[in-house]
Amino acid sequence: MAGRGTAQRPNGAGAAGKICQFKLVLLGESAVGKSSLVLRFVKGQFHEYQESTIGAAFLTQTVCLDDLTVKFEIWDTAGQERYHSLAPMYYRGAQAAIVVYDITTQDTFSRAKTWVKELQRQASPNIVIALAGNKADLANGRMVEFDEAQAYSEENGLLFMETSAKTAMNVNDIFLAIAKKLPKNDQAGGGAVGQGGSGSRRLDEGGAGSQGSTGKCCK
Amino acid sequence: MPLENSYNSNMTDYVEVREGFLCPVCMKDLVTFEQLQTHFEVAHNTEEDGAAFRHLKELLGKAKKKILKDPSIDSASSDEGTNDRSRGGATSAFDPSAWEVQEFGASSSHTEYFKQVRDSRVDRFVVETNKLLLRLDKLIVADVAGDTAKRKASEKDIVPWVPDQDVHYCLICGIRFSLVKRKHHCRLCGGIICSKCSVYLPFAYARKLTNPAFALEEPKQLGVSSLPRTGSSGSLNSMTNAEGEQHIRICTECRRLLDRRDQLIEQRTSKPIIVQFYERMKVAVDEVEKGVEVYTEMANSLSLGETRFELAEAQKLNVRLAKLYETIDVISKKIAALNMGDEVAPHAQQARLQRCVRLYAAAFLQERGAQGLRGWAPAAAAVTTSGVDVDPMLQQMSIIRDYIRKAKQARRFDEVQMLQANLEELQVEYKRQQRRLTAAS
Repeated sequence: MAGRGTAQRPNGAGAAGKICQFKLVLLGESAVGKSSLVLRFVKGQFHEYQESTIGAAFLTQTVCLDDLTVKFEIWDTAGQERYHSLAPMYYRGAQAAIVVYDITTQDTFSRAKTWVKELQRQASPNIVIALAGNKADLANGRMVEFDEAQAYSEENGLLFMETSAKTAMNVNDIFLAIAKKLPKNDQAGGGAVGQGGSGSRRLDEGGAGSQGSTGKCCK
Repeated sequence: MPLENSYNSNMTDYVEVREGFLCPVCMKDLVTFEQLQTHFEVAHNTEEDGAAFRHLKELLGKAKKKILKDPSIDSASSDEGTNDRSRGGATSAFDPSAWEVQEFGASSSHTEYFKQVRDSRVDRFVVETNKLLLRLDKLIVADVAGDTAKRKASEKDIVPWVPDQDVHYCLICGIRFSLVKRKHHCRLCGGIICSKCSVYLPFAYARKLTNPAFALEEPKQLGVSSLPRTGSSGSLNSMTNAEGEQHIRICTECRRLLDRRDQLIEQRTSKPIIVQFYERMKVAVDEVEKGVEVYTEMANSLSLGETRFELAEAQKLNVRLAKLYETIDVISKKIAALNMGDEVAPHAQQARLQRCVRLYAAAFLQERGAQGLRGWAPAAAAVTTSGVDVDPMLQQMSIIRDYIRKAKQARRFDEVQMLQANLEELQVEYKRQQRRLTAAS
């Protein structure tokens, strides 16, 4: 067990053997396609009639960047208002958040904006926020202009993409973009806002995963 | 043409060679083609000449028929006045539609002959090369560096030199030796060559050839110094080059044989890149095989509540396995993509091999359940929404508990840990909420 990790990996096999783990949370109005987006990303599937999420669903997915592996611990929150109280528990310790709206409904965009505001106020200051304009395949019924959302994202320093869980457009891209933007060398995440906030953890370290050691990643 | 005529008249005494537009019948020179034609038509249009001409034509016609397997050949040959018929046959023979399909003729295999020739040739090469290598071995072992006379003597002792006076031309390029073109002896075959046809063979390269293991000790780029140098055979600089490295003069023929040998050794020892990749992948695969076994044991023991293994250990192993899976995935993808982007596409067989390796790896990963790299989610919790007014916090807690159970079942211990952390968080939050509520009321 001792000689494990980077030493054993053949050189140039495309990875220096780092695994970074990040907590990512999805937020947004109900029925904008948060679960579909995650399902597309995690399992490559799409269900036309996705049931509405209860509480928060948990999924994981690993993506490979150039020389490191990023493991996403994804919390897909329910969009319904009655579960709103749960959301802070999930975004508090998160290093990344995707705020989703539906491009065919103006209201969902407004709601997305409130989510962004809430995140900026309450979540970790280093949190990477991405804005996803979902259902881009329904561009005929578009109510939210691309430029409008783009401008808003630039203003607020968000990653922005229009996505479609149905056609898989930009789905992997947005997660990859987040993975790239996440800090991997410094005190990542800074998820110490909540008491249980677990920063990104380096898994190939002996004491990996112990809750106390927050935010030491890939040093 | 007049020139040829005069030439003819002068040379007729010697040889019966005549050129020009000569009449085939009377051998008269007609100077131009037109004149020859008219002469032939006018002077030789007699009955006998005509008959001779027809006879010639008939013969040609028969030959043509024979080639085309005309069954009328026998009857035609018996008939004397077949002039017109044979001519007609000849013209019909040029009509491609009238041709029959040709049968595949007799064939014979020359493979055996080819093998025989090749084997004898290869044998010759091998024998020759072995002889050279034996000599080379002796030459480089005889360590009399510095003492030129002694060295020369020992070299001559090992390989008998061709005497200087016997040779006047270079063995290879055939140039005549002179005061400026000096003679040189090849230390391996003893032949005399010119400076241009000789090269210096460094001892390092020689050692690599005589003892392949030597090459491994010294991975330095070895090669024959390409700078042929003039200088008397006795001078010191014909033994050592600029760097003071020892070398001997050999002819390009011997060099060719040695290079051939070198190539063979290289081919036998060096592995193509795909093999190197594959071996690396295989190492990972073997490691996974072992790791999975241990991991299953650990997981079983842990789920039974034994304390033989620690959870952290199992987690570490799981991560390591995930990495190995990834390694296999990456390498196999590399193999599949090998040379694919090149201008010259890899050979079909090569491409197939690459594809197969990738398929094997993919199948292996799938079989081993390398879900470490794939997304995972606990099966949708069958939430018993016993009333809409259930506190979402409590609801979520039960969801998480269900997730934990499922994650444990799937032996995804790192996920269990995450979920457990979340559950604790929820519990703390819930208690705080309750306290606040009681305080308010």
